[in-house]
Amino acid sequence: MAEPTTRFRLIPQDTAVADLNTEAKRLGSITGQSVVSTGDGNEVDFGTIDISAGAANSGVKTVLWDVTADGGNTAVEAFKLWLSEKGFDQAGSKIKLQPLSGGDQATPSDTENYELNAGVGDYTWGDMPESEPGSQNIFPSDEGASMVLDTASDDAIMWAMYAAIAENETTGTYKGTTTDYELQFSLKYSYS
Amino acid sequence: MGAMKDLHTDNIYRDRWQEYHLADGRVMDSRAINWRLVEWERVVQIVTVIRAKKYLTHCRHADFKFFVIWRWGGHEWVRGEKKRIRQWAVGWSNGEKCFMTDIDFKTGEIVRQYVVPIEQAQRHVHPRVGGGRYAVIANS
Repeated sequence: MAEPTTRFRLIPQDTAVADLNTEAKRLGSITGQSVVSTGDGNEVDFGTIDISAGAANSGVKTVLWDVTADGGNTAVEAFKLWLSEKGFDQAGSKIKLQPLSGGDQATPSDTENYELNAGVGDYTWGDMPESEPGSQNIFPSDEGASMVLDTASDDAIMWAMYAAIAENETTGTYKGTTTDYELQFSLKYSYS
Repeated sequence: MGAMKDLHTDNIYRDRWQEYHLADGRVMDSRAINWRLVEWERVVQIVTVIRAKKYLTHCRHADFKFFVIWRWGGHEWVRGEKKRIRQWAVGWSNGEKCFMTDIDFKTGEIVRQYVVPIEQAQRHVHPRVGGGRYAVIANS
């Protein structure tokens, strides 16, 4: 069985809730989206974080992941996202994570509904795990454990994240494999 | 009859396949048939072959109910290197838990052995042993 083909997309924070509130809209082309790389090139960019006055946060980034070609498989499941390497020197420097639904979830529990122009104060955040989590930690909008594949996935996985940088953190550009300044995410899923 | 879905086989891989041994002596080969089309309730052992390494998963457990298989995909960064996650998971379930072994697709080495609740693998339970059905069952 061939492996499914997948993609990551970064969407603008000013994406309207109405543009994300159905499966079809989340899977379709979202205005301003950019397909982000899993290698060196067009990664998600948290920008410059000024800690001259103490701890500070980046802006919030909203990312979607979905399957664009099923590879002859019928389901994907057990979605796990973690921060596999980080060069931060201060224990308090974290990547914060909140799984999102698309605004169409009546009573979300494992996720929160997407909000227009969401900032750090708009979601309830947890620390992104720094090793592979034992179970699923990101979700499709129905908060199910899986997505059905029929050519593509029947929904997208969505999450928000930001960088929370502690005071006295070593300044520099944290990116990819840069020695002592690594910043690398991993995503794992099962398929059959 | 619904739309036909092309359920792939492992004939795209070199030296990597699974054999599903049925109670009546027949052996189904994943290079010839997709596992979802196998009479799963009759499977008594699975042989997983990756390159020169061969692993047998048997049903001789007191609380054995059915076999469970899936594959792992994704990307992982380890010590500055990006690795594609490519592993085959094979194991069995007592209906509540799955007892799994992950095997590296590239090397054939065992990556880990673990137990997960069946709820974390619902879509990978074969329809003939109680897993969720999908709309189209057909081979190309």
